[in-house]
Amino acid sequence: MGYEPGKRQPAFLRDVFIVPEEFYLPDVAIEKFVSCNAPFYPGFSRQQFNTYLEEFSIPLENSLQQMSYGQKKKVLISFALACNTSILLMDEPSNGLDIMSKSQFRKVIAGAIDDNKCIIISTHQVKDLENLIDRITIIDEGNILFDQTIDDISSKLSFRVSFDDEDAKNALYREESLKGNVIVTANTYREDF
Amino acid sequence: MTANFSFKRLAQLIAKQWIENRRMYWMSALALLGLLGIVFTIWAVNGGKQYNEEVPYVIGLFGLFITGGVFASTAFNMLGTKDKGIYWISFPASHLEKFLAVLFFNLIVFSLVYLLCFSLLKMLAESYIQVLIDKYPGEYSYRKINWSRDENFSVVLLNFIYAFFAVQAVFLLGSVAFKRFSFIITIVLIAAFIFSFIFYITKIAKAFPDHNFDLFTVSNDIPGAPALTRNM
Repeated sequence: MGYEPGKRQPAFLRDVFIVPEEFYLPDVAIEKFVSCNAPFYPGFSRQQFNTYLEEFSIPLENSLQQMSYGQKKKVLISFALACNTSILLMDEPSNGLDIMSKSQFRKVIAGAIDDNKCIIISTHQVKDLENLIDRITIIDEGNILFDQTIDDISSKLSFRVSFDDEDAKNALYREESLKGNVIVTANTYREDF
Repeated sequence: MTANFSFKRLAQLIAKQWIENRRMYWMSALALLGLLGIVFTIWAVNGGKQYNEEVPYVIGLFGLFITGGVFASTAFNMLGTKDKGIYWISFPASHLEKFLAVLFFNLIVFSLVYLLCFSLLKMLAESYIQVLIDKYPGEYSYRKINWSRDENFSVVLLNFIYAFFAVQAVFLLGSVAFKRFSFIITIVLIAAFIFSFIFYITKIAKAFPDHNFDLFTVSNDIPGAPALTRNM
């Protein structure tokens, strides 16, 4: 983008949106929140925002402080997506969302992705988002331990559940579960992910 | 207008800050009116029979320093918590615009609201005193300040107002520097600074025993030097 993030220039900030895990929203109605925040984001689409809220089943006339944590998060995610920034950072976006809301979240994100947006999601709950991800980066203490596209990973590794003890013994990684052993093996047969 | 400053964005930021905090601002204004009202009521009811206009100004100045300090120490409290800090820092406006928006509310709006509350309450208290004077002529009196004659008072008042802006600046700095209890910590630091300053001046005064030099008065007795004058 050609900016130094540390300088936090307005031109950079209006093209980046952050949905933190611990977030703050002011004590105002949704309408007021949009009217005073949206002018700062040139790509904001009111129509998109209303559509996302509808998909999340959030009534527009609600005050943000009267909402539950999950509802507030859905308003923030809707606003973040409607801002149409080039970069959208989400930290544990599915935390605090119930099963129904997680499903709505996946649907909304899948519909919002396009070539002009880069959505970076930091999560411990990969299961919630696995169908949306096209690149995985594992970071530990600020160091990148792993950074591969899903296509690269699936061409080299196979992930499956196995009841065969021999399979489990030969696996690169295995984890016992109620359904058997979840194993990671070399993808010798060129299976899909 | 530059990449980091735009009047339009500043106006939008001020509007946003007003919309998001107006409930708190209204409550603060009411609390201010209530607190000043209590002090003015005590003065009007128990102020004796010879009222003096200097008293409300002294009350006003003390109130200005205390409430101004409290308000200024909350100016950057958005930076005190992670969630609010991210919301504030990641918002698309420059540091300068955010700072000016805070200054707008802390210096301009606060000062105007304080002046309005003070003037209103002073007027009400004076009206009450006037009623007493009319009802018991000769018993009650109200000495008004003669601004052209009481030169010292107007100088002191002006200097206190300058000092208010300096103190506001310190409390604003305190609200950025300290995450919690910024008001109390800033007061402690100001007190420490003042005590250190007094200690330092006292030491200097002792080093020059032949000169009339103390904390509150300075006289120029250096041979050949021009006399100290004050331009009004």
